[in-house]
This record gives sequence, structure tokens and C-alpha cells, in this order.
Amino acid sequence: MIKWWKIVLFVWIGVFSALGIMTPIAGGLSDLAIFAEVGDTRLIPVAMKIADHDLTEQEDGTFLVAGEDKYGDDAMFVLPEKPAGFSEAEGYLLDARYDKENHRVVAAEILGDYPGWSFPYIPGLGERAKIIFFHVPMSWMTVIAFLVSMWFGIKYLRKKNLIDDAKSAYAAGLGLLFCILATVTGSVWAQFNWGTFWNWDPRETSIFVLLLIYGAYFTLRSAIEVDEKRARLSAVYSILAFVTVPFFIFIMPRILPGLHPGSADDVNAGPVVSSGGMDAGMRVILYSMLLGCIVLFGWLMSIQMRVFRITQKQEADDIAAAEAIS
Amino acid sequence: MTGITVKDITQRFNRRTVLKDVNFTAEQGKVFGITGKNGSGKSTLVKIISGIISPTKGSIAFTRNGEDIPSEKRHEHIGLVGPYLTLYEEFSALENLRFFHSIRGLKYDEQQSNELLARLDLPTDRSDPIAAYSSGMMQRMRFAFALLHDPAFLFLDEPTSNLDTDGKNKVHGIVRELSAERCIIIATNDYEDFVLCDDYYSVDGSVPALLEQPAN
Amino acid sequence: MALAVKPASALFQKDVRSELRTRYTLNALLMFVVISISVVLFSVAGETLQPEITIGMLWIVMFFSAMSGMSRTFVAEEEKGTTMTLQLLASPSSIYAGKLLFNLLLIVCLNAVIVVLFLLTMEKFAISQPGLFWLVILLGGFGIASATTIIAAIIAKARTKGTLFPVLSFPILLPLIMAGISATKTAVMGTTWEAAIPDLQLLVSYIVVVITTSFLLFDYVWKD
Repeated sequence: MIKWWKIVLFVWIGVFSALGIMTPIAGGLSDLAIFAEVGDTRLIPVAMKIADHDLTEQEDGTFLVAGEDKYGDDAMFVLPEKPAGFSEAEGYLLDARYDKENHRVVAAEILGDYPGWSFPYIPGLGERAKIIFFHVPMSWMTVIAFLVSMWFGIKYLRKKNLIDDAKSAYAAGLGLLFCILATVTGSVWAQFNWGTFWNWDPRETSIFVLLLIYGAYFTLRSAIEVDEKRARLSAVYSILAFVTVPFFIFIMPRILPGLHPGSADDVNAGPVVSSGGMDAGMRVILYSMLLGCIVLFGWLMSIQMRVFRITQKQEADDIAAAEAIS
Repeated sequence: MTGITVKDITQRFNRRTVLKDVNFTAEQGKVFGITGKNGSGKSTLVKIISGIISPTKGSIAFTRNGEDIPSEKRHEHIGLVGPYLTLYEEFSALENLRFFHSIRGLKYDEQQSNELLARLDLPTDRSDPIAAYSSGMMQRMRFAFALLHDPAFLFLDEPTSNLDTDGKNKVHGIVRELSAERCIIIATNDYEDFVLCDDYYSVDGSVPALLEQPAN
Repeated sequence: MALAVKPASALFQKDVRSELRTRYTLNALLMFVVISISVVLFSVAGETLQPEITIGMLWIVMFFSAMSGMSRTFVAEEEKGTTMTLQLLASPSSIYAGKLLFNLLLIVCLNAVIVVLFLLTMEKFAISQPGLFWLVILLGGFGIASATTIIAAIIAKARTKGTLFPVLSFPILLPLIMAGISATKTAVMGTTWEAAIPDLQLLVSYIVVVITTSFLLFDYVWKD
């Protein structure tokens, strides 16, 4: 029987993924002004609300409308044609640029109706900003899984219960999976945004080191045959890795120059998530995705632990049967 | 009181339970025996008591003159003889003893060390590495290793294996001589060793067949 | 955590004497250094290298020489079967301290040989701040020794000792190596030593953190 919370989990992750992907990105006048200031004529998506349903047809066949952007700044904007149902429309999502001389927003295309809910436009990222809902939770899960693995490692060292070691190993296994996903998504994204798959930016270096640590952890486990010894030594190794990894995850990326937000030479934003510079809607989705990933992680752990208990019981039965024969 | 209390010791390897809920007390003035068939976990128990292996469950308390000895200090009070102990074979007998003295923080006295070697019928005039020693001589060297710091707790695992009759008698003599002042535990299957014991614990739960053997 | 200096220094002296007598590690290590520097020289074949590349080569040789030498002290005890004997002789923390001392001495000698050979063979390799340079080499060596000592104790208990050692050591050592390389660059090409302060801080804090953790964890590695 499927438990209700599993359905909730799927719906949760599905809904927030969909929200993250489908929500349009829309800037305001200030975003347009930044590009206009430097003479950049690229088009960016802006949301314009209609303030006055008077259309002025101009000589070149375009229409001038009075409106305001999503942040409430007033501006005139130019539509390329008269859209159907204009009199009822609340506003539009436009692909536009700013005409500095005439102080008006010039739309090249109407992308859709005025979005009731949208993400802010981030210069240089655009639609690509949406990776944050997937890449960042995965990267965090990599670290969280590592912490969980170490936590159970410490618990094993204190209590000497092999179940804790199994939990530690499974957490590390899932951590490795998240680590690979974070690396791959990040790398593909970097190709499109920064031009290469890999730049050895400090964050990239740190995820690479985590990948190496996970690899080393499993190599160590495979090289020891006695369960208790394996449990003990791998727990020690993960603690040792944990005390050196902070140099990478938390200190190095912040003191070294890099491409990721929050690097030492990043003058724009600082750490995107922790400094509070992020849009509230985006943050809600990001945290919801993270929560979904954590619950998914816990669920996968519990499945693996059930498999572990069943195999263990079977082995115990086999031993008992063998002893009964002899 | 000087003695050892072993409490609920359980040891598992690869989910196989080697020892289960071992409980006993050994006291100064008595020789305590650990018996059991080969492979039943005698040596494992001795290693656990000596602190070489940390057990899966349970605890061991060492008391000397009524005072509890913390686990990180126990090695100063324990002497162990076991077939699994290897000494530094690239060094001579005296070099080994000198190292054992210095690492234990004891003052090295060549005279005294020579006396110890002589007491165990080991040559005092050899300066070659002990790698060349016979297995019987190696066993005597292990006794030198275990006795040099005059420990209050002496654990002997198969102490008379590899020894001839002379050697066995020597060991039994040492055990009798030391037992009044020390707490001695012998893990053995050898009947001649076993007769020295005042009390015993059987690892595999079976009453040792050798007990039924007439003592003639 | 009963750390006594005497047992540690006794163990250290024993290891030094044993090493001088058998020379297993010393001869092999010396040959390893000579061979790896020769490979570097052959591949360069008289060309003048950018200092960045030379520094990278230097650290590669230092890392792999350490990888072939640092595991020896624990693996040797395990191979000789003297681990249990040692357990009965001293507390785990003094064993760790003794082995760490030995590895520190070994790596200082090793790095000194490597650097001197580098300076002799790479003619164009000029160092603008020799004091800082040697300090970085010393700290880097200490860092490598402090992290690899406990890893050596771990791999001594595993099956594939030789290959496992660099696999386990590299991720742990990476922060140290990166800071070390960056500080060496400052020492070779920089004009002020102040530029190396963050790297030096990182090196020192790395050493302190790793040694402290090793002392706390060594008990679990050492006892079966």
C-alpha cells in the first residue's frame, strides 16, 4: 500500500519543479535602464501593466500605451501591433528594450499576458537562473548526506552497532549520487553560461574534492573484509575528511576569486542564498525543493535499511540453519 | 584489592558472535584459567582483556590496591605472553629490552636485563638480531617482554607452547612464584598448565574434558 | 589522551635506529626522488620552464615522494607483526606522537633533498624570497606528514595498502597542496611576503586541525 506521504512527496517535488520551470522571468524598467545606459540593445522580458486603455497609433504602425512595470514604475511602452482583446487585458509580458531618447519601452514581441507571478530578471542569466532550483539543492544534499554519513559513523564508533555503519554507507552512497548530479548539472550549465564545461572555479574544485572523498571512502570500504574493522576505519576517514573539507566548501570559495556568486571578487550579490538578496518567490521554491530532496533522501535511506535488515535476517537464518545441521 | 572484573563481554566479527556475555572475576593471589577448544575465542578474550581489541559490548575493570586503573594507563600494569606477539627481530635481545624500558619510561639497567635473560635461560652474550632465535627462545623472549616492568597483571596465552620440559617447568615455577603478589590469567588447553589454576572460565561453555583427566 | 613525551621519543628513536639499520625506506625513497626528478628533466629537455610549471612539478614530486614514504612506519609494524606488542607498550596517543615525529623528520629530509636537487638541476629557477620559500616547504612538509600519518595507520589495516594510500590522502591533502602551491608562487615570483599571509594561515590552521583530530581518532584506528 502506498502511504499518503509518498504521494505528497511526489506532488510536492512535481509542483515545485513545475513552478520553478514554468514561472516566467520578468524584469522592470530598472533592468531595461541598466542595458540602455551602456548602449546594449538586447531584448529582455519585462512585465508591463496597462495604466490607461488609450492606444495611440504612431506613424510606423506601432501603438503607444501608458503603463507601469511590475515594480510600480510608470512608463510609456510601445506595442508592435494592436493585440486582440486589448480593452480587457491587464497587461503584457514583453520582449523589449528601452529607448532612452524617447523615454519609452519598445517591445519587439508580445510574449504573453501580464504574469501574476514572476521571477526577477537577473542580468547575464535570464532563463538560466532557474537552475538554482535543482543544482543548489543537489549540492546542498551532497554536503548534508556527507554530514549524515559522518553522524552515523560517529554513532558507530560510540555504540558499535553495525546498523549505524550501514546507514553511514548508504548515506554516503546517496551523497555520491547527489554529488554526481550536482556536478553534471553544474557542468552542463557552465558550458552555456560561462563557455566551458569546467573552469576550476573554487566551487567546482570543492565539489570535485567531495567527489574524490566519496570515491576514496568507497575504495577504503572495499579494501577491508572484516565488517567491524571496515565500519571503524571508514568512520574515522569520514570524520577526517569532514574536518578538512570545510576549508574547501566554506572557506576557500569565499576567499578565492571565482565565478560563482559569493566569491571574493563578486561585487554584485554576495552569497545569493544566505545574504537575503534573493527574490522571495524563488527562495520559497528553492527551500521547498531542498525540503523535498531531504525527504526523498530519508525515504531512499529507509528503503535501503529495509533491504539491509532483510538480508541480515536471512544471513542469520542461514547461519542458524547451518548450525542446526552440524 | 587487586583484580580484574570482566563484565558482559560480547565480541562479534563479521556478524559472527565469537564471545557472548562473558563474566568473571580474577583476583590477586589466585591463578585464573581460561579454557576452551581451539578456535573458541580464548585468544580473543585475552586480547580484549589486554586492551588490544576493544569489545563489541561490555566492560573490563582493573583494580589495583582498591584503585581503579583507567584504560589508557593499563598497558603499564599488564604483561602479556602470547603466540601472536612478535618482538623487533631486527634488534638484538638487549636492544629489544632497552627499547621496552625506554618506551615504558623505565630506567634501563644492563645488569638487570642480563639477569632477566639469564633467569629465562636466554643467552646474555649474543648481540645478533633475535630473528635467528629458535621458537623456544622466542617464547622465552616474550616472557622477558612481559615481565620486565614487573606488572601486577600477567596474562599468559598458551604460555608453554614451543617449550621443552625444562622450559615448561621454568614457566610453572615463575607462575607459582609470582601468583601470590600478582593477578595471573592463563589461557590454555594444556593439562599441566591447567593444574596451576585455582578457578577457571570456559569460553565455549563446555566443562573441559581435561578436568576429568586424573591428576597423576 | 595520556600523552607522554618519553614513550613518543623512545618510539621515534627506535624507528630511526631501525631505519638506519635496515634502510628499506631510505634507499628506496632516495631512488624514487632521483627517478622522478629525472623524468621531469627528460620531459623538459633543456627548455626553460615558466616558474608556475616548475613549482607545479616540485609539488608533484613532493606529493608522490611522500606517498611512497609516509605509509612505511605503520605498514612496517603491521608487516612485522609488532602492532600488538606496541599496543602493550604505550598509550595510543604516544604511539601516534612517536610515528608523527618520525614522519616529520622523514619528510623534512625528503623535501630538503628534493628542493636542493630541483635548485641544482633547474638552472633558471630563481627564488625571489628564499626565507619564505623554505618556510613554505617546511610547513607544507609538516602538513603532508600530519595528515598522512593517520591515513597510514588506516591503510596499514586494509588489504591493498600501496595503492590505497594516495587515493585516501589526496582529497584530504588538496587544501594543503593548493595553499602550498599558491604560497610557493608568492615566494618565487612575488615581491612582498605579506601576500602569502592568508596561505600561511591556512597551512598552519590545517596542520593544527588535522593533528588534533588525529589524536582524538587514533584510538579507533589503532585498536582492533
